Amino acid sequence: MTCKRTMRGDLDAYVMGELADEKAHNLQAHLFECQECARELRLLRAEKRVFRARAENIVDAAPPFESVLAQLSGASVPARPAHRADTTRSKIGPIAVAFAALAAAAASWVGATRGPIDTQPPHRTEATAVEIEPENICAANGGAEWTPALMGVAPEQAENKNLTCSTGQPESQCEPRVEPAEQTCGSCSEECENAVDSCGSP
Amino acid sequence: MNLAPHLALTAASADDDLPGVVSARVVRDVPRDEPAPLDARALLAHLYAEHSGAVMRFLKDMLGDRHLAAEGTQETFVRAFRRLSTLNDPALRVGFLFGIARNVSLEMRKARRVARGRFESDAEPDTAPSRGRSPEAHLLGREATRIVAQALDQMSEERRAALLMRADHGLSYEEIADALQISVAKARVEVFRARETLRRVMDRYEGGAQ
Repeated sequence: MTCKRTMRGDLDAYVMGELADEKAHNLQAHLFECQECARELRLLRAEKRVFRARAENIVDAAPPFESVLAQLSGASVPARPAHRADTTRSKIGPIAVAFAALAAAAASWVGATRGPIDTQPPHRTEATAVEIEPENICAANGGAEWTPALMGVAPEQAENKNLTCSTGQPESQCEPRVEPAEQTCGSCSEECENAVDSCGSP
Repeated sequence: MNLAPHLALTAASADDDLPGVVSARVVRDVPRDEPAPLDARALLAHLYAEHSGAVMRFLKDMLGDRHLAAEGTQETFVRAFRRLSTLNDPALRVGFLFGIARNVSLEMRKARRVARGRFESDAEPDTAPSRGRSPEAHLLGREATRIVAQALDQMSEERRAALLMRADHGLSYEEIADALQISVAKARVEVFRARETLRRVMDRYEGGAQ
């Protein structure tokens, strides 16, 4: 191999479509003159065909995305390679499917609420805090199961932050929130809506 | 579609210490014509839809076992999600993912003592005629699978990874260097040497076929 173009890797970049137009035109002109480069180009294209034919022949598909979400949430879900013909059916249980649906809903909600932020002038660097309150998704308070993934933080960050829910207790000790029953004082009529401590009736 | 989220999750701020509140901080430096930044989960979903097939194929080539490859793919994206904060340049996504996948394959190989030389035996059952493909195309695919498997089996782990990233997945030399934690010059050399091995196998195959 003596041609500088071959040694520089121009042909490799050309076959991979990485060469700029001007350089590609120059190389094409060079290929009419240089036998060495023409041969190298044939070999590179043959390699490319081999890899493409091989890729088209592989029938393994990645495991469903739900398995990744489940692993992020702490559930132990074995990854099973899915055959392409089976990819329409998830073998993961309904909980993982619910996670995926919740994640998608949360993503669309976050996307929708960020509309005004994008009206900022371009090329401005800024940090916008998006607060996600655990009380909205804490299991004990009627929401979905608490997971770092659904909270939008990496699990190791969540572990270090000692998260608490709205009751002020750690998530693991969280009790369902009980709304206090409306109380009225005994001296008022039933229509009185004042709470006991604010009712002015004698 | 380049969804290009300039997104980083950070935990280091005073208001993050408030009990019951977690902030997902989105750092933006987005030109007007760029798409809106995405939520971390949406970014993960996008990365998965875009690259999980390639990562799966890469891991199967590295590990020689599709079940291990499936586990490795899942683990790769779990780790990717946890390290999204380090991914500030969307152009580096592919190298970022393949770098993680390669580390996962190394760990799995070490943990499970995956033997070398399993590529050819595993390649056969995984290939099947696909709908809409001619028998000739299927046969060509099987032969191509066999050739690449033979070549990969003769290479070191690093060289195999470099060749696959370049020839099969189209990563740039910069991305390969980043993924393998080597210099760009070394990445070029590894791919060059790997191609020499591949060409020897192809020559043998063509010679045998004639």
